Amino acid sequence: MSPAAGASWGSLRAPFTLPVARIWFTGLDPEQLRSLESSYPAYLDSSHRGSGHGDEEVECRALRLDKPPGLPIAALTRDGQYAPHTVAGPDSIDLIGLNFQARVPLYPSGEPGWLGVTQVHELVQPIVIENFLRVFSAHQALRRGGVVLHSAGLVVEGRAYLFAGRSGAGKTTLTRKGHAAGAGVLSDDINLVLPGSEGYEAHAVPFTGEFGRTLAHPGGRAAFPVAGLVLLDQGERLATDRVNPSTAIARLLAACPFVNMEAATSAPLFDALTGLVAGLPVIALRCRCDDGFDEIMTAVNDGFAHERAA
Amino acid sequence: MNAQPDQERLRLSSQIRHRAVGEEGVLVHLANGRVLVVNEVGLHVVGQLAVPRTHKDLAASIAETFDVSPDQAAADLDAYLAELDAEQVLEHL
Repeated sequence: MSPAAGASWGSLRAPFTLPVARIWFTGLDPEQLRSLESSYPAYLDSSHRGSGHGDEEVECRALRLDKPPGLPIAALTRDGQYAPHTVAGPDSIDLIGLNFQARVPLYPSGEPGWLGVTQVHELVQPIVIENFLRVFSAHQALRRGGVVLHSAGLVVEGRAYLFAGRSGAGKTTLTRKGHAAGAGVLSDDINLVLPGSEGYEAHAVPFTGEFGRTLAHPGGRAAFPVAGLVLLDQGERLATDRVNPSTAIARLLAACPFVNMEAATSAPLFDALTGLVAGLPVIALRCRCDDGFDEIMTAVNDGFAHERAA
Repeated sequence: MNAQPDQERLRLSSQIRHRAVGEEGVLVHLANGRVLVVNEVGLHVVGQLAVPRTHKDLAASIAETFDVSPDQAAADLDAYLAELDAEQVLEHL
């Protein structure tokens, strides 16, 4: 798969600053640049300055494909959900989606990546660009001892609470409750956790689920200390349970997309999750649709306190 | 699961990656994404299956390591192998 020699859409470029690195999208045409600026204003940084983890830079070329990839839907489905086909290489990950192809670079010092579509407006469609960004972020997080986690990320009193769970566990419902109660929302779908100077930090990222981007956070530079991790399930009544380390690692591993089924990332993922579980309180939470957010947070904080005291 | 024929050897699938966590183990199947937790005995069995083993070898290893009778070891082993087989963790050689 190599349309890297294909034509660019234009001559414009834009820096997209993620917590893990800065991506320079090059070869953009004016429409694509305007779409990026309007869809992700907090992540486009016109000044060329470092930002801690974002000091590393990679290039991603916007390319014009002659035709759509043409893979059957069955090849783009996993567990009943849309999932681009991935091929892992030593220095990059190739993605093939319904209407795009991409090469996601793994190392800043390596070959540039690229993102190809057949229609100019498709490049900045969330189903295209965010698949690129998610895969990129997951691999870069791992390089730094962190993870990208399927989770609802809520900020309460300056601390991030990550509620991990697969689709249908109630992440978006919890996010809506939290938002209505005044909590900050990082994401209702995928959150980025990285080791920080004093523990772990959850970072704002441009990936959202149904809830959409609502937090007016300052793009990739917003980071919140993580209070703990919650393994979310639906249940008959509101309750928290202690979780032993092996179960915690297993549940979190299942919630780490893009890297949990790759041989090359298996060992670093185990390392990262072992560190997370050792460094943060992890509890299981069962709750119902009609449990109030305040009651949920009281139960969670009590659970964390018991876990720290144990 | 019935007792394995003496000649058959078993090995951990090449699609499995695992890590010991305390006395338990976490396994992930790279092809189907399934994640399993095994207890101390299961972790021992998984460790033994890094190289091909017969059922007899595995049962003897369990009996020696956990100081249980050969019959108990064989019964435990049958249960574990059935579970691991159902999760496509094993390769039959």
